[in-house]
Amino acid sequence: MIYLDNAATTYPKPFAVIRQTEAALRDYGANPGRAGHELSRRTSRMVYSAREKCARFFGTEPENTVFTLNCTHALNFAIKGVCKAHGKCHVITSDLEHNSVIRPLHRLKQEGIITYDTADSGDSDKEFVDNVKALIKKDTAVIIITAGCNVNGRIMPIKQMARLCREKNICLIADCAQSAGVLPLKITDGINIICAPGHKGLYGPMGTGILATDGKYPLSSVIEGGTGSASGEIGQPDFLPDMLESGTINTPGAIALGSGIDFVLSKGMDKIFAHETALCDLFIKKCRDTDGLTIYRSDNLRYLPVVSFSSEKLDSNALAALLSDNGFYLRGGLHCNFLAHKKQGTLKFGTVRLAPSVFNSRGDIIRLSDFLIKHFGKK
Amino acid sequence: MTHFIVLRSSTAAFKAQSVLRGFKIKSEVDKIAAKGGCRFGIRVEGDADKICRMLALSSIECIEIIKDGGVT
Repeated sequence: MIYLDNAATTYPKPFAVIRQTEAALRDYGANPGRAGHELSRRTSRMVYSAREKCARFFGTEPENTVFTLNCTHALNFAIKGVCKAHGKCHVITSDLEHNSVIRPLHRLKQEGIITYDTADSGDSDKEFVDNVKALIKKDTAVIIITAGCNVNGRIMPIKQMARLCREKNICLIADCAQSAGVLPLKITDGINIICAPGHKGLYGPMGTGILATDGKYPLSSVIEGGTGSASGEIGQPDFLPDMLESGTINTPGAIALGSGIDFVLSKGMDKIFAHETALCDLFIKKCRDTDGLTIYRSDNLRYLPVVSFSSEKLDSNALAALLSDNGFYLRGGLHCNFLAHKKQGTLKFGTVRLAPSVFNSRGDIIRLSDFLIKHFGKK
Repeated sequence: MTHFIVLRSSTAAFKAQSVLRGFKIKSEVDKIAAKGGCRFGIRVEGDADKICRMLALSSIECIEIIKDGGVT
């Protein structure tokens, strides 16, 4: 089995993450931040240690680092939290955004809380930034941009957007679903809120995500409930992380995510990026001349280690099924991102997505490429 | 004398403990029944007001100082 669906979730997980999950279930089984007994305190200490690692990783403080269930959860908290706290406003996003960005925006628009515009990502970073600038209005309060598209891997100019947002006093939310663990983006780069999954490039368990903020823009809670703090008050705590952490968090997941971050730092983000990019480049080089295969890459753009391709002979789900039957696990379809497919003209049949992790080798890519070439033939 | 410094949350309490460790000041995270319901905080020895001023430098707000212990 060759697993190349790491943009959905990384697999396998590092041994340290598996060991820490087991240790959390075995040794830190009490509810953190609730009781005062020793087991609860011990568990809380482990959760705090993981929170501190996440905070350092994203360049913020532990209290500004919220554990969520996944990146979608974090994005909903960020988008709805900032927009509801701000009140009626205008939002700008891009035409490469995942449904976890566009659907919350659509919902807020339906509720009459926001209006929004989608900036054309264009064919270069400059064109995209110019397109965003042209959409800024007097009441634009939030810009939300993916750091890297989950369909074709295009890296977006987040640092340029941060400069623009700082100049215009606009809140910048970065969707780091695909970039966390391969691109070193931090709050200290001028991003106001970073949303990231714990279970992709950070190698934590599924059911983990992070919202990291600089605390500059007020957030409104999206769900309310028990937080273990200010329990005698009827209102939701107005401070982070408690305001956004109602209910028991995924404690084993959060603790193990800390080990995932240790793993990424020990390997080095630049080295992980280089390794995975080399695997994508190898695939592109080998499969470029495969009959009927289209690879969605452009020469003048920067990419995350994610490659989308399609065949004129099979739709993407049929191609992914064929690959699965032959031991190659890749995802076909729309990847929960109809905007990006619309933009690249693949809305009807989708694409198959190749997403290697640190655990994949050149051999994996050569076997996949050889299979595709053998099956479809050369041009 | 042991004092209990009430902080906003469990996260704030562990951060306070970490900050104070940097100053070689021992503290213990604990939970207490205080104004506004259950609160997390830290037990410390010595000058609690001075400790709160130190914590403020790391943006940790002391909600209340309960001199001489506090009831858990």
